[in-house]
Amino acid sequence: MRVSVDTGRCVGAAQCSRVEPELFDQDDDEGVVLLLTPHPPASLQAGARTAADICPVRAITIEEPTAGFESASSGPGHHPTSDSHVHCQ
Amino acid sequence: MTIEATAPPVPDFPMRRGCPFDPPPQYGPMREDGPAFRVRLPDTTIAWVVPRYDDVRRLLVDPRISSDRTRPGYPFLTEDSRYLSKVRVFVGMDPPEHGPHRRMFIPGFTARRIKALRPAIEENVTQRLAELAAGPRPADLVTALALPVPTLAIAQLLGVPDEDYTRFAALTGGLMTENPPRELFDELLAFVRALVSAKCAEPGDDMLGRIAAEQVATGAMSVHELVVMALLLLFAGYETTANMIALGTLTLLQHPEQLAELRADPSLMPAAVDEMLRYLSIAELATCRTAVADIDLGEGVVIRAGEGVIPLGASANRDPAAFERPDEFDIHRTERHHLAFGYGPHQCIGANLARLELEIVFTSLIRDFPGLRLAVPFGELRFKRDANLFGVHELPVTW
Repeated sequence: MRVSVDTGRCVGAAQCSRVEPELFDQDDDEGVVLLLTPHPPASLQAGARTAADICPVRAITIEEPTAGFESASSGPGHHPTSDSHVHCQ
Repeated sequence: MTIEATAPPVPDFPMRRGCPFDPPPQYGPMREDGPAFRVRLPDTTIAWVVPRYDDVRRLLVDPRISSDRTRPGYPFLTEDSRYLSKVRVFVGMDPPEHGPHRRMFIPGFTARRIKALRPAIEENVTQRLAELAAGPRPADLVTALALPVPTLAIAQLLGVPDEDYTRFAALTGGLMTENPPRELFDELLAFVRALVSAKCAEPGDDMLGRIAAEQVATGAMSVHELVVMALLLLFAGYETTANMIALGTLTLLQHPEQLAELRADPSLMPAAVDEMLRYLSIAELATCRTAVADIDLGEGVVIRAGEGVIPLGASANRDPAAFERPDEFDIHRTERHHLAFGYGPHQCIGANLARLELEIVFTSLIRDFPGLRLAVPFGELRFKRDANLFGVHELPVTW
């Protein structure tokens, strides 16, 4: 699973950090979402989906890996400029 | 025979509750019959109401609807809301203007800031419950607990100085009586003006102080805009939370098995609070909008640009397409997608503060008052049936 957040859309409702605080945090100065890792471990993936569902401005995007390739790479749609240093967990 | 004779009458809106725990009885049939219906507002204008969960949620993030109160067609439910709409604050703005204005207030509501309010809220609840226990029985839970809890939370949030707190509580409490005198509102306005002026003169490290230093001092926001914003935060967080405390307590008393479970295991409380929010849905009329382009909802219904739209959150929260057994109060629900705080860019900014207040109040109340019960027959309770924010006037309890 690959998670991305759009901080430009975020309105600081803090619903994601409420449902999955180990994956989402808030910037103290701005109050907008901070994504702690774009590749959450299995234990956080259900929370990631719930957060994406209840985010009031749909600022959380989840890309599910194609079956069979989960651990092979960070998957399609990878944004090399923003997080190419982060590897799959 | 004329066509008019067969046209269905346009019902009046807001519709009112029958059972105090349930939304107006018309909502269920509307959900089955179609995606939107025309209604007549108190000022006789016609607007649309939208009853189904999926439509409500989709509309509230749709860029084709506007929260701008100055647009023709905006559905005002009261004259007071028309009055407050004259000042440009973020609740009445659309993206992209809305975001930067809302962001000024977000840092005051982060999870860490809200968590920092917990000790003060807990101490206040402990004191109020100690006074309740030492006082006469029966007692009115609204004045003893439901109003004082959000009063303190908002005073903390706005940075009301300790020496002014008693007066702040008297003014806000006075406004919650039936038919409060107009002068009381003017006095509260003067109080908030003085508070904002003091923050501008000497900005402290609280929300209003930071906005005064960063926005008012630089000319990005006027003093008057900050005064109106402070008032809006006060009204948004005060009666809503107070009504939820009283009605939530009543709901627990009506479900003694679930109350017993919560007393035995307080870790169930956060989910129980969200279920109360869904089940009671007291503030659905806060989300009035105007279509800025034609919106096709399917089944032959098109909302035209310039028409008022009111998505019905209380109906959405009882939609069987979104919740199993939607009319049952069940603290063990795991779904977290209710719309009690609205949805979209205007979702309640204070939602997590409200949740914290409710969790603390209910946890302490049912722990310290195991014999809590209604002091009058249920049928004698006076509900706020004609108000746009549902509640109960008094909640006489004994223990």
